[in-house]
Amino acid sequence: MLPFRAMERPSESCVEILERLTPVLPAVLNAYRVPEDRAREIVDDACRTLLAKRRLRHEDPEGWLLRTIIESCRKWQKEEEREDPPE
Amino acid sequence: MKIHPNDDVLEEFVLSLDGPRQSLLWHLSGCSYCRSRIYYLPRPRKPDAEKAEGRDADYEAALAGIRRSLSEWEAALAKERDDAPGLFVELLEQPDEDRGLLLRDSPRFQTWGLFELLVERSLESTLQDPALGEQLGLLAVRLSESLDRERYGAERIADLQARAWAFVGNARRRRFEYPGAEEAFETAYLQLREGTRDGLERAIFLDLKASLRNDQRRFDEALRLLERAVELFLGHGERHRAGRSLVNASTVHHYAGNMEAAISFLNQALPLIDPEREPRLLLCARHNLVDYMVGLGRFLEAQRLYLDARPLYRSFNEPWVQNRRRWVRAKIAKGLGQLRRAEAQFLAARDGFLAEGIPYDTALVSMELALLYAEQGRTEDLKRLAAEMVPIFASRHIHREALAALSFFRQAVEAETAGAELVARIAAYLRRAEGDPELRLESGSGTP
Repeated sequence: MLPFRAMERPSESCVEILERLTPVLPAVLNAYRVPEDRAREIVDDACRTLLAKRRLRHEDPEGWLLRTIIESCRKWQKEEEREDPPE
Repeated sequence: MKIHPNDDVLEEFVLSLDGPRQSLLWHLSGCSYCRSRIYYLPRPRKPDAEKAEGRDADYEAALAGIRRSLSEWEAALAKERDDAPGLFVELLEQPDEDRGLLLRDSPRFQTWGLFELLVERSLESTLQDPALGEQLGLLAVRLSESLDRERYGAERIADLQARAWAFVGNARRRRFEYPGAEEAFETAYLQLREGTRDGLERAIFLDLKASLRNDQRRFDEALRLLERAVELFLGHGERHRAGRSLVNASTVHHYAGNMEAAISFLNQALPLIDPEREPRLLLCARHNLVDYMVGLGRFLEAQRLYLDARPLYRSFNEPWVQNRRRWVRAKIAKGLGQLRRAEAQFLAARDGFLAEGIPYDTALVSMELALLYAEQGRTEDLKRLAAEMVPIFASRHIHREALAALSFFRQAVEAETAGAELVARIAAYLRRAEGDPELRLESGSGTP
């Protein structure tokens, strides 16, 4: 048997990835009714995490970023509902 | 709509969308993850439509602001990454005892770039030098304790700490230090809980932990961890990494003695592997497929797969790969009754492993060659071969039980009682014992 080793190299700019998602994001954020200031934190945090992990060479960085943002929106919504349950 | 729209309806729909919405549609058509997400998205209520439009404008302004600040942050991280190799060399030039102090006291070294590089090098070094791999992983952990949480984010630091600990666990596993490896994986798990909850990090952790379970011969657990890792990788669009985990799963099946499943997992892995990203993984998967076919006695299929893989083997013109190529070629030749070719290839592989100083593989090839001689009744060649195995006995890299079995083989050869059945039994034992240092040669092997 042959063992193998991983090779990781950095790739494209995170700003470009965010730019490609820009047409989609308002609809996502709106769907969860995330207030603008919280939306800014969510997107900024997800982008910084993606940047910090660029050397992992995500195969689908766009998908990863969108998924992470959606997860954060859901988490925010759950927390909101816990604090202020719908009638 | 419960029926599929016809072409006219679809065309009209696509043309009715403006540029950004068309982009969204194309994205949705290619992204199964987003399509599945649509079902979970709460639908905006109609009375909110105006408010929603207002929010869209706010979001767009916010996104523009993020893009600007992100650009600056990206440049700052790029600079840290450029500086990291120099800092890495400087760090390793220090005596062992000074490195930790330097990381703790010198802000110049407290960067994400160096942290990340130490973590990466930890994994890469482990294959050739597990002690160095562990040392680098621990340096990464040490550095992480001094990183600015405000600047880099506490959760992101915890994610990379988790990866560093998992790599430390992996290095300890490679050194057979299983309790230490367990401890490192436990710490990695706790760090993951403090992190961003990124599924990709979790999958990397599970994949490495599965290797520990495999080495501990806890095959069912290893397979469960790998199944979850594959699921997470695929869910994150990481086909190549999923392929790598499937190769790992095939290895688990191989060690568990389930060759059919090992082959099936390799066949699932092969289409997922990106040859440009990691050609060595592709080589590994294709080589193992040939080897497992040989293990099942399917020599013609093995030969066909071997011939297909020849260009790939050629692109790795290094002894480590070529010796394994010769070895599997020898096994195919033997299976097809081409005994001269088999002998020549076994000898070439054995000499290659000897030259490279890889004692266990030298022993395994030698035993297969011994079987070839024993089956032909070539007692003198067997004696010569046993004499040439002396360097193996001087090795500190072969565990006690395997050495005992090899010693038993030598005595049998000298006493001229090493028949094909005995040699085959010892060869089979050595193959099984490779990943199980506690395994003992079965009783009833006879005495020389």
